[in-house]
Amino acid sequence: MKKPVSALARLGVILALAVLLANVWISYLNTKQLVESQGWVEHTQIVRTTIRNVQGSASDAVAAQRGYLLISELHFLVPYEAARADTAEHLKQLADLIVDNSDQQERLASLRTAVAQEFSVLDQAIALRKTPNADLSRLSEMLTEGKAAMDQIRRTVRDMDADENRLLKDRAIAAKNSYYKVLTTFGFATAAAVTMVVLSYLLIRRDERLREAAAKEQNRLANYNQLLIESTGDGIYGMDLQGRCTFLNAAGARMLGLEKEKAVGQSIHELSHHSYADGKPYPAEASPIYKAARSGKGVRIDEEVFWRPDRTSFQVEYTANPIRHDGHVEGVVVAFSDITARRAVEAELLRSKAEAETAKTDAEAANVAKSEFLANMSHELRTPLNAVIMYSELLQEEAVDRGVDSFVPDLERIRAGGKHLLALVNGVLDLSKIEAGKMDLYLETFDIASMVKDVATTVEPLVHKKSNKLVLRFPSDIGTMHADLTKVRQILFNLLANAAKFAENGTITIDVSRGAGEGGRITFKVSDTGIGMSAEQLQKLFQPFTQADASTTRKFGGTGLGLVISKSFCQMMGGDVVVESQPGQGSTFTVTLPGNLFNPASVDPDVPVTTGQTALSVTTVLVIDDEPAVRDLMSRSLSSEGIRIMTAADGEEGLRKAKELHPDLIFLDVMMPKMDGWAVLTALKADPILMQIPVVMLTIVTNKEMGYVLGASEYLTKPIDRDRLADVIDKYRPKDPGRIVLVVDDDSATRQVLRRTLIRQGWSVVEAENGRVALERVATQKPSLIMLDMMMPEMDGFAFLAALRKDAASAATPVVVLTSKDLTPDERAQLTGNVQRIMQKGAYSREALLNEVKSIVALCAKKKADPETPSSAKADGDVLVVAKPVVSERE
Amino acid sequence: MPKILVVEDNEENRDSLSRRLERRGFTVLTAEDGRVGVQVANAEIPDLVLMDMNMPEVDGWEATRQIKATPKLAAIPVIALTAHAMSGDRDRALEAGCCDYHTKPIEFAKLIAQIEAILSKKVI
Repeated sequence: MKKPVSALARLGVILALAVLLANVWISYLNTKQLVESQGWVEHTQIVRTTIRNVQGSASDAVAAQRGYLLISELHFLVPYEAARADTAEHLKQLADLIVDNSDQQERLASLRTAVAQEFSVLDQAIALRKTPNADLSRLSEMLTEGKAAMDQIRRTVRDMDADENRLLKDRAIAAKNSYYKVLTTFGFATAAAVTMVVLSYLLIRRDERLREAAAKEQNRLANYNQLLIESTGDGIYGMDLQGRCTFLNAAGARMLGLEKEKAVGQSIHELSHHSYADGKPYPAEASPIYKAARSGKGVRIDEEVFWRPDRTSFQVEYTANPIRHDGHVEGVVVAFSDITARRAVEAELLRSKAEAETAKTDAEAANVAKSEFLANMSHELRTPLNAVIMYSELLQEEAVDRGVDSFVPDLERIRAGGKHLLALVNGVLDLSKIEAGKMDLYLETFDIASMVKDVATTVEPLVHKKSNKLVLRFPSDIGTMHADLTKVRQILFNLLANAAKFAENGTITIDVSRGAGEGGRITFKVSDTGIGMSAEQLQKLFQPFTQADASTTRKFGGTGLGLVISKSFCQMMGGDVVVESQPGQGSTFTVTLPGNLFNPASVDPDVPVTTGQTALSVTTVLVIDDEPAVRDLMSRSLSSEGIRIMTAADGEEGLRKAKELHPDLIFLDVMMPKMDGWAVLTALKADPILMQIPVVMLTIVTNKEMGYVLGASEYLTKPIDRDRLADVIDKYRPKDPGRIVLVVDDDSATRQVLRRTLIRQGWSVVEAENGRVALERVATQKPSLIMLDMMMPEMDGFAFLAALRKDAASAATPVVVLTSKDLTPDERAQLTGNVQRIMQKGAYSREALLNEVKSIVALCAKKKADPETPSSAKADGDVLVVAKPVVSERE
Repeated sequence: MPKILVVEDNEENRDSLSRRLERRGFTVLTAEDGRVGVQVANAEIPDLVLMDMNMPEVDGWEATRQIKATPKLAAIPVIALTAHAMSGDRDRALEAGCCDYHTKPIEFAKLIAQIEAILSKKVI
């Protein structure tokens, strides 16, 4: 607290001193003047006395002269002479005294003259007296003259005295004035000095008071701050740059188990921070607190421990911040709190969370276990059912064989019972799968008319059982739909069987129609002329295990699950089933389903379709080709077929996508950078999961200039598809009949079949059982086409190809390679070499290729659609090599 | 006639299925678990395998994988017979290398149709 007052007080004191000094000086001067004045007054009085003395001694001389004159005794002359000497003496004195007064000096001169006159006269008188017989008349004259001189003296003395008297008066006044001046000046100066001293004193007093108050306030604040620091629950300590504790508050001392007085001055690190939580030594340099001191940056740490002298520790959260003074770091202040409890709570929370997660996992596991249980139960039930059904069927067959037909109906009842039980098991399982979200859709494209007819045939016995009539109505161009065939079939079967159950001597109609638009919704309307249902019954219709009436089950049988399952199936496929009915008026169940479940336009937007469950059911085609133009071409030409086309730009991506997507068919380019088609193929075939995926190799078709060069023109795989073979052979059909084809294969059966086929196609066939023989045949008669097996004894296909190429005469002969589907890396390398060097004539136009591709895809899809259909080799994990169109030129 | 290997742990199912197949004229080999199934396949090289999936020890998936991993057996078609109707079973069977699958209880007529279709593949 800086106070201007104190400066003012200082100034006051200085001023007061100055005034006092001035006062002393002035008083001195005044006093000196006063003394001088007094001196002058005395002087004047001495002058006056001396003047009177002159007159007196002159008078004495006159008196002594008179005496002499009267008596004429000489002894009277002694005083006279004395008086004369005195007078001279006094005059001399006077002259000295008035040496500074010119007026008086003039008067003195006249006085001297008068005195001299007087004494001259006196002397003359005396001298006359002494003269005997002297004329005494003359004496009186002389007396008169003497008297005049004496008067003159007296006058002069009077004047002088008067002057001195005036001077005296003046000087007395001056002295008096000086005295007053001294008094006044002294009085004023003293008063001023005293005032200033008093003021200064007051100011200083005030100053002191303020200072005292400020000090008191400061003290109070310091105490208060101290109190704050001591009262806080957090530990606080200060540390200087040497690591010594400079301060420790009560909470800190308590937490650290230290006495604050003892801690101060000691290394706080050694006291409380010497080890890590695990007990390993904690070097001071590594401590964030020291780092804070070094870097001048504050830190916050919450994963360390502080130690107590008793070697116990506690988890601590602390902040260490540098203490700055005038811009320099002087130390660190550390505020810390014991977070053991908090950590415990956190740990508890974590534990609770883990427990909750465990509980969740347990619940999920329980759910999985439930599903497992259902699956197992289903398995356990199905296995004996299987035996029941199988043996009853077996016995029926044997009974018929042995002519014991009377057993047949009973065996049929056993079988029917088993089948019914199976239906119940299936229904329960379906329902639990639907509820667990584990029911999958297997989408395929199928012909609606034949599906409906199929279901009608299946349900026919039930329909006829109660003398009902079944009527099928659908437009002839109803076409196909893309959905889960099995489930659509099951839905319709349920509805028809239901109708057949509740109608007698009536008509059951199934009416199929297609909505507008591409792949429009398909409506199946199943109506009957049966007993119908009340509104109340309708309400409970689609609830599990609640048939319209409890007695219904007894009367009509059934699981009571059919409609529930049917409705769920419809909804899974983006459709629905609704019912209209009145008691006695029959019932109409209307099923609507998207015509093409994967055409988004036809899917009811309100019904979500979980595509994740149906990945396998789409016909997915993966095209692996480094040429964007080829990928684009394939995508555009195939995607319109309702097939999902995925593409990959190189072998690695292709493999990855193949693993992810499990495509139904892969188109694979042979020549790609980094990983070529053969490498990809080898990887695909080495993978137990992917090995089943049919792969169509796309080889390059070069520009025409390349022409016929050595090597393979076609690759066919074994087992060889007849149609495919016919296509390939057809391409090389000789323009003039009778051209020769050389069939090189060690397997005579294969040669036989090829021969037959080729002859039918108009070829002459020459056979060879291995490469060596084939070379001999080529040497004797150059074939137009060579069909070449790769795996042969003595000389295999690879060696044969190599030798064939060396011979210029036969270099241009087209070769169809019969590839094995298990290519070894070496074989692959050899074939790769061939393919790279041997460019095929552009035998396929783009359209032809696309047709080819489409037919392969269609075949693949057909196989999926109906696993019973005998499939060609193409769709069975085999490798087929076809040429791809020229979309850009490359080497 | 074609040789069919029936790999099935349930004796009744194995017995009834093999008897019915024999009645249709097939030569039937049987194996009561996956390991024996693979052994028999190696020894006899059947034309087709009917493989139950749920078997103790070496199950149908594993046996199928072993067959598919054996070069001389890899081409033999395997039809999975599975009583498991839970989702994924079909995928797993196909992944293991089965060319087809059939849900138990066996619908014999349908199974025969499948077998004949596969055996009569228009393949040379």
